[in-house]
Amino acid sequence: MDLMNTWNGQSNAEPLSWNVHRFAGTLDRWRRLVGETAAVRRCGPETLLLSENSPARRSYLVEEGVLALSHHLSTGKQVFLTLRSRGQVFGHSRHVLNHSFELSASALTDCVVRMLDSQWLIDQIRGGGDAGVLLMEQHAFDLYESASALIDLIHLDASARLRKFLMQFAAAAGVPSGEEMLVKVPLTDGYLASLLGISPQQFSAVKRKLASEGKVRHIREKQTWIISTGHHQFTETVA
Amino acid sequence: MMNEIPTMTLSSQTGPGVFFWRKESARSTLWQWKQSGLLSAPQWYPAGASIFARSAAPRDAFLLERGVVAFERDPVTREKSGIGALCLPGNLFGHYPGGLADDSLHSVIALTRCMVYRISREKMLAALQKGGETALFIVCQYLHNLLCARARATESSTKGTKARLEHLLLELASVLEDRGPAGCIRLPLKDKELAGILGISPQQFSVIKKEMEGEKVIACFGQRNKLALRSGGAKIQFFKVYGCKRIPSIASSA
Repeated sequence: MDLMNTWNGQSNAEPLSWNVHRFAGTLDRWRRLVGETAAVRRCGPETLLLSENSPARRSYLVEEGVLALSHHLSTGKQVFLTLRSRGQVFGHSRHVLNHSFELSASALTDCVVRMLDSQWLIDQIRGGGDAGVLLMEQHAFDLYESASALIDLIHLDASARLRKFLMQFAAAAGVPSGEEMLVKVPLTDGYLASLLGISPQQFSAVKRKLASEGKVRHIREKQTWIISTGHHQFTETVA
Repeated sequence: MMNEIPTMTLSSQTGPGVFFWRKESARSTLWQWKQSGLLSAPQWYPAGASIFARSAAPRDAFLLERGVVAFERDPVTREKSGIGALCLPGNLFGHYPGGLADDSLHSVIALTRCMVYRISREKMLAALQKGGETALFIVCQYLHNLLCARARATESSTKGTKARLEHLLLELASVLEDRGPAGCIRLPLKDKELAGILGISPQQFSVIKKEMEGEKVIACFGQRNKLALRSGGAKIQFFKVYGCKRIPSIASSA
C-alpha cells in the first residue's frame, strides 16, 4: 500500500498503528498478580511521575490515563520515546537492567497508577507465570514499534508525525475510532512541539498545514483536536 | 529441550555506552541464548535476501548471529532509500505483535550474508510460564534491545550528524567481516541508505561528507566507491558494494 495515500486519507485502512486495545485485557491480568496492596496514585496532566531522582526500584502500572515516556538531555531538551496507557508497566528497566539511561514519565491526562516494587517484578518473573509473559508481550510490541518509529522519523514529515501522535494518543485515551475523532489533549502547543522535537514556530506551521489539508483541527479553547480519518475531510480551515 | 541458563550478566552493566553495539557483549548474549535451548537451527541468508516481507511479518522472534540486516519500508522516491534502521549481531528482530496498520509494518532484508536463528514465540511463552533464570533472561533481552533502540533514536538529538556517521562506520567496521580489494571492508550501503539511517536527506549527506573530507576525517577516492575513515589514530578503509540485488526469501541451513 502506498504510504502517502494512507496519510492523505485515501485509504480504507485504519491509519492507526498504535493498537492500545491489545493491552486492554492486560490490566486485569496485572491486577490479579499485584492484588490490592500496591499503593495507588492519582495525578493530573504534566505531573512528573518518574525522573532521574526517583527511587531505582519504583515502577508503575497504569490503570487509567495516558503518560509520555521521554529522555531528558543535559541541554534541557527532551526526546519523546513512547506513550504508556492502561495495562502497561514502566520504570522497571532501571532496576531490572541496572542501567543509567534516564527515563522520565509525565502524565498527559488525568492518570491513576499503581506503584510497584521492581524487585517484586523480578521475583515474579523468576517464579514463572503471567508477569514474564505480560512484560515480554509489552516489550515485543515496543521493540517492533520502536523500529517503525525510527523509520517514521526518516520518512514522515512533522505534520504526518503530529497526526500519527494524535492518533496514538486517541487510541491510548480510549477514543473510539471513526471518521472524525475528538481527542481532548490537555497540553500546550509548546509541550507538544517539544515531544515532536520541533520548534514552536514549526509547530504552528504544521498545525496550519494540517488544518488547510482538512486532516486535523485544533479547538484551542476546548483543548480538543479533531482528527479526520478515512475519506471525510474538513472543508473549513480553522486556525 | 529448554535448559536453565546461568544467572544473566546484564545486571552488572552500567553507563550509557552499554546500549551501543559491542562485539564482546554481542558474543556473550549469543552464548547465553544458545544455553537457553530456545534457538532453531541456524539459517543462512545471502546478501539482498528478504528475511521476511512486510506483508508476512512473523510472530516469532529472530536472533542475528552474523551479518547486518536492515529494516526497510518501500522507498518513498527513487532518490530516497527505504532503509530506516539496522540490526547488528546479538540483536533481536521480528516478533510482529499483530494488529498493526500497513503503514507501520516493515520488511527485513539481509544486507550481507547473514546467520539467523528463529526463536519460536510458543517456546518463549512456555519458558516464561516456567520461570527461572531463562525467563528473566528473555525479559531482560527484550528490555535491553528496546533500550538500545531508544538510545539509537535519542542519539540524533544528542550527537551531531558527523559524529553519528563516524560512529555508524566504526560499528559497521567491527561487524562486517567481508573484505574487498586490498583488505577493504565491503560496505553494503549506498550513500542514500547511509543518509536514511542517519535520518537526513541524500543532499544533506553529500554536504556532510564534503565537510568531513575537508576536515580530513574521511577520504573518498577510486571513483568514490572507496571510503577511508580516520578515527582515534586508526585508518579504516571501506569498499562500497553497490547493487545488492533484492532477492525473495530463501534461507539455507547449510
